Amino acid sequence: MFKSLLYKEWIKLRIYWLLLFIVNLAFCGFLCLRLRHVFRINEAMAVWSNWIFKGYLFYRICEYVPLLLGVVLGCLQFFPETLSKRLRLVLHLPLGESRAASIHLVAGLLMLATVYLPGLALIAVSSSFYFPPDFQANLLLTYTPWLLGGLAAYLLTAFTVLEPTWRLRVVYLLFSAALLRLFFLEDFYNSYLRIMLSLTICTSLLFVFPLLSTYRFGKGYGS
Amino acid sequence: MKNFARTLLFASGLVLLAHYLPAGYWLLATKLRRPPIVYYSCTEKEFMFFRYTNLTAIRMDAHGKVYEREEFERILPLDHWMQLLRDGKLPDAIGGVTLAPEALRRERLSFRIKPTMIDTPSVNLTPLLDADTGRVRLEMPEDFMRLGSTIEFIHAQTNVLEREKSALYQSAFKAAGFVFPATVMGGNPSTMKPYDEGYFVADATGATFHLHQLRGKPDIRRVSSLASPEDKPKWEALKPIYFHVQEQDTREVHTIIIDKSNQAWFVVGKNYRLVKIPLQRYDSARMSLVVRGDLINRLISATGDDSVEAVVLNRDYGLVDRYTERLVSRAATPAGKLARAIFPFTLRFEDVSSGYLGVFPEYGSRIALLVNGGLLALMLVWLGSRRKKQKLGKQKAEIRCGMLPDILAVAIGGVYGVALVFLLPKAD
Repeated sequence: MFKSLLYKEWIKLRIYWLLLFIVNLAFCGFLCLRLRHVFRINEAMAVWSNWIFKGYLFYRICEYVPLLLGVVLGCLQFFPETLSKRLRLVLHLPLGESRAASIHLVAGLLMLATVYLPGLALIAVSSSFYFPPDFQANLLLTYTPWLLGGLAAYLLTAFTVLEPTWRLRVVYLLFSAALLRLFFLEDFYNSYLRIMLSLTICTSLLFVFPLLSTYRFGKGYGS
Repeated sequence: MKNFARTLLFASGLVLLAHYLPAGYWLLATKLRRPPIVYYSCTEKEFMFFRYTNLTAIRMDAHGKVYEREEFERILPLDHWMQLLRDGKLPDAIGGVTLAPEALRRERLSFRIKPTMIDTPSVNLTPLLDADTGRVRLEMPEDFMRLGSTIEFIHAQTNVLEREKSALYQSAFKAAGFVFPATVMGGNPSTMKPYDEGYFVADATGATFHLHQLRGKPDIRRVSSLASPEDKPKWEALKPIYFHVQEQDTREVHTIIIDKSNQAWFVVGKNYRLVKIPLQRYDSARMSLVVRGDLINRLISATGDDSVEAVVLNRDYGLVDRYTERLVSRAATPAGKLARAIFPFTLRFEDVSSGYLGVFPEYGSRIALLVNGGLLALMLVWLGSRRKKQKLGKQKAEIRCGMLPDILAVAIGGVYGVALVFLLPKAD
């Protein structure tokens, strides 16, 4: 059943996944070209100094890309299910509501991870030509809250979309916006270093929120 | 699961409201509140102040006498010497010290150390300038120094380790008795300065070393070996947490050191004299340290949210005068008291004490606890009356369990909890 549901989600979302994958890779490719350009027109010393001492984050332009991808995937995956109430069919499977919803979320998170990771690898490899390992670690640690923000955005989108009543959808939308803002407070590299673990744990705990919405959907609230 | 999810939702809601509601409140309630700028008059031998009240600034002395700008500048000739010189009012000498413009410019000192400079993210890569290239101006090197468990140099353009130079420096460090890894390092990686002071580095034992690059060669010395015999024990006992290097024309102060016990020190002169800055309230995590020096005195002030302390030292670093003033902290203003009565706690993720993000809580007053208690009592009464009306039977225990997040949210979060009870999904 687990594999079948994953496969169902894959069939449903594969075209969108491919599009998101290409968009993310294109953005990361653009970033790599931009980095190359920056090193072509500036002295390496100046680039390194700007990063280290002034905290200039040259790849900040893609700060909100993971967030956007998370929201888009969440909407594409769950809007059709709720609009036509197709989700009810899944919730009646012998698996149970929570497990069925969890498999949907795992499918979405896996797809999102496979969208993010190749782009991240591309950035890591291309920047290794210009920066020493100290920089690399720094770059990835600065990028991590944005990726976590993307995963959180996906889970919070599912949370909001799956909620059956409009009143709570609005409340969840405000809640999600307020929560997601906390992933983007960075204005200097490594600012999140001391709370990275807490942020990761908090992000993973968000997994239960869509399950609450699914429970309420199954109970027939709002209908 | 649903109870766990609701509990988590309430907990997250509490965190968000404890962050955003007080932030919104302060957006409306904040008033201009700036600490005074402290001066010391070498002619009147007393402290002078530039104070901000509402939207105006006034100049006054320690007795409350208010001065016009011209009078204020006349009393503080060394702080306003350029204006006085332009107006032809600069005295020729004060207390036997001749006020020559070139000497006035050269002998000025200015340092500012903020808490975020001490605790801030950094990458262990920094350029080591050559202090003696034979050129008129300082030049940026082509490589970056990485000083940790070893010392290495990386060529920036090629991103390649410079093995020969790294080995040369590694052996120089060992010869100087440096114990790796380096724990603290401070320098001023800029070419916009009159000379290069190099880096001050503390090794694994806490001992301080002074590192220079001279014509491509390393010059590293244990500072205690350069100090006079009476300063040696002080250097050996010193455990620095921060070195502030900022080259000035006077070349008098090598660095300012903050040590583990929050004590600030000047390192002065050729024999690295260690001068204790006699501030009594300075807290490097909460206060800004400002040093202003001139031909006659050194004025050091430490300013925090609730106090300002200043000391004046003469040119031999002897204490001349001291001033302390309690300021009204934000929490002690009427708006602050109201906030502490309404909000049982506030969460901030940024703080003046650090360049890192973190969770920085502030707790409300006892009134907030009373408010929480009152709101909780009202809620319990309301829940009780609802139960009677609904005449619940077997479901009672389950519903009680389901209401636990609501009750806890009001008990802990007070007004935040009440908002969440109305906004978030009800227990069923």
